[in-house]
Amino acid sequence: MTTFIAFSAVLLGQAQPLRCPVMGGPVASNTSHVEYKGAKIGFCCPGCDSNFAKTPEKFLEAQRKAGNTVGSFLFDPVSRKRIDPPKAAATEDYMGIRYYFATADSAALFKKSPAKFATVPKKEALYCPVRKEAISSYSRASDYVDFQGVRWYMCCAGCGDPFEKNPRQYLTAETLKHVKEPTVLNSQGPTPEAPSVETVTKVKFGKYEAELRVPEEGLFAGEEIDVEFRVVDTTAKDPVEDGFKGVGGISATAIMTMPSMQGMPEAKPNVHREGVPGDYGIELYFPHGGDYKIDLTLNIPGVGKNAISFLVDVKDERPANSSKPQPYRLDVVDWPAQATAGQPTNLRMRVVDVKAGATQRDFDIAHEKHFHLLIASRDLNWFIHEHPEMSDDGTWEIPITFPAGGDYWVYGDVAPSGKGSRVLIAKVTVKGDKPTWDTKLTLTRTARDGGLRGELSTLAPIEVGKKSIVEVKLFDDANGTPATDTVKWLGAAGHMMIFHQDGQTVVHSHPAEDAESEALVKQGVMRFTGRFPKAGLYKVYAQFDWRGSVRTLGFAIEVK
Amino acid sequence: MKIWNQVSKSIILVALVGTTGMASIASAHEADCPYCKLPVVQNTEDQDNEVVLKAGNKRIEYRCLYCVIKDQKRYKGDLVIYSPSEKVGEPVILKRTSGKWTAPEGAVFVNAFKKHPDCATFSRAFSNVAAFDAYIAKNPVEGAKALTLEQFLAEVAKN
Repeated sequence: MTTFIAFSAVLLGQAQPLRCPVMGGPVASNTSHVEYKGAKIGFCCPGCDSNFAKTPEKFLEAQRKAGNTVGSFLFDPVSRKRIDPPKAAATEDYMGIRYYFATADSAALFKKSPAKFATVPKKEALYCPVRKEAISSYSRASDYVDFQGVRWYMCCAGCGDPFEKNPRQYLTAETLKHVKEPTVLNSQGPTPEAPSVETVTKVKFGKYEAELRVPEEGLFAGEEIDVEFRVVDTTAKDPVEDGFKGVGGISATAIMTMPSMQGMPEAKPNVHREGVPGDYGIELYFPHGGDYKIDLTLNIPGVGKNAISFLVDVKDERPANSSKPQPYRLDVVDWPAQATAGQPTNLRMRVVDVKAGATQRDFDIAHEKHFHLLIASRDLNWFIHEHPEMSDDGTWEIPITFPAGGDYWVYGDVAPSGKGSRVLIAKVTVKGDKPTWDTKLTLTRTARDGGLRGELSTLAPIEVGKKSIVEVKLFDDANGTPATDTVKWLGAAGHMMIFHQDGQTVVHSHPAEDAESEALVKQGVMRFTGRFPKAGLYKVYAQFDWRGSVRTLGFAIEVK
Repeated sequence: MKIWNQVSKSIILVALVGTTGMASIASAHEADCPYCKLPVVQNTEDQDNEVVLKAGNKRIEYRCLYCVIKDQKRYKGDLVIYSPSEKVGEPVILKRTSGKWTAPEGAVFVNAFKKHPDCATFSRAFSNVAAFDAYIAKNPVEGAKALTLEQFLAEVAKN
């Protein structure tokens, strides 16, 4: 590491400009940045960040050789505590990284033996071993402690000292699972792409102001999150916090809807007071990406009720390096090792509240059922939609005859009480002969079942991550006339299940029930609102009740 | 089984991205008390029960005033404690400045729990003696005294 030393002492305000590690040009102020090995790294233009993420060491080495400085270390390397660069007493550039120091003494110590302070262990843990808390990025850590070749990042100022005194006390097998090779963390800077929907996170009403504290990294689908909001009185100063006085003692209720997806079932998330006056929390779950409206009714002591709304944009998928666990899990129970194709097998499942470690027994009804069971072959070309019943012990049970040997996705579309709808995924394996059907996803926009023919189209080209209108025109295949005589099944004119080729992303949609949609249904046209969270092939199953039977039409489309 | 009053809406759209082997990022209020390891009591019907310690930009929630004072040595620098009082949304605010604790004038404290499951009920702050008297009349407990901050800190230190 010391072979290519590009050491130069610089005075505050006279440092060379930071360079893009990919192109070597000056860092632009309006592009994203990443974090790597405790340093923040900027880029000259969009696209460099993703290139850098592939081979960071290669780029850093090249810039070190060129004598460029490409990153700012987020911590004072001597005290190891997080430092705010504008408050630094001194800086030093060393091996392509700019270091900031809280005191001139620290800078002097660093200059004497920079490698001692700048060398980064080969492994790290963005996980506080003391409070057992994951840390989403280096910039969220308060300090770090190196122990036996691992850099442990701490969540707050009180954790470093006890860990340093007795690290072994904190290093349990569970904690050690968080040790890994350093990776490039996602962009924390300005988002290259503007938000697709309008967001409102600050609302003024009378002399009061409410602000939703959306996490810096944003909101993501499929995650349960407690989002805080603060209500302040703009005519008084807070005795402790910076800014206006927090308004305590408010009782609040919330309703969450999706403005752009009419008919999305509304959720009633819990709202609670936090211990700091003015701070409140809303327990949110976003089943998928898109725009959400959170209507709050705030009952302010001595004032009365005030209605306010926040609008938030929820991303489809959290970057892989910082994902969170699902709050619920679908377990297949007692799956027989000898489950064989062609014979009925009892499929028993349990929904587990992961945090409580207990079987979830309370569910809300969605489309007339508590549990919509979707099963698809791994290739997605075989599919069924069933509705198991819950037993006294909280398990769900239904006999299934699988058509061929192989792996099957088991999807539980459920709504744990008060928590909103979600799809939980499990997998089972069945012995038996290989499928006789085509196991490739062959693109097709025409499908037939039981004399019903469907033609799938989209009103506009599908854009990844955005709302799309998917239309299925239904015909009586015998004579080509529009199938205008479908009837409602499970409370809807039709059901559409959209599966990404990886089997891990499922979208479940129904036609709207407004006058326009109902008129279209009478013409044999079903219009669904869909969302395609990522590029790739999608298998689309549409189901309709037509002439006494449920018909299942399977399409396959590609989203680029 | 509870049946939610399902609103008759026509489009439901559910997407989920499978996740495996991921680290949990717990919100502070979801954690148990860092000192007694019992659940933090929050947002009850008639009074707030969690105690919040503010150390720099970090907030840590404790189950009671005893727990947070007992655990204070972990934190360097100045501290602020929001301790639930008799009034919802109006905690008694304690400050540790340069190592010295201060409390609002007139504030009194009780520290009369025998076992930690009772700590949230009997290790508390009140804005005045009258509030303490009213609370103890409603929640009688042996040995309850209205303590000054100095007396409360001394009680915690010796237990």
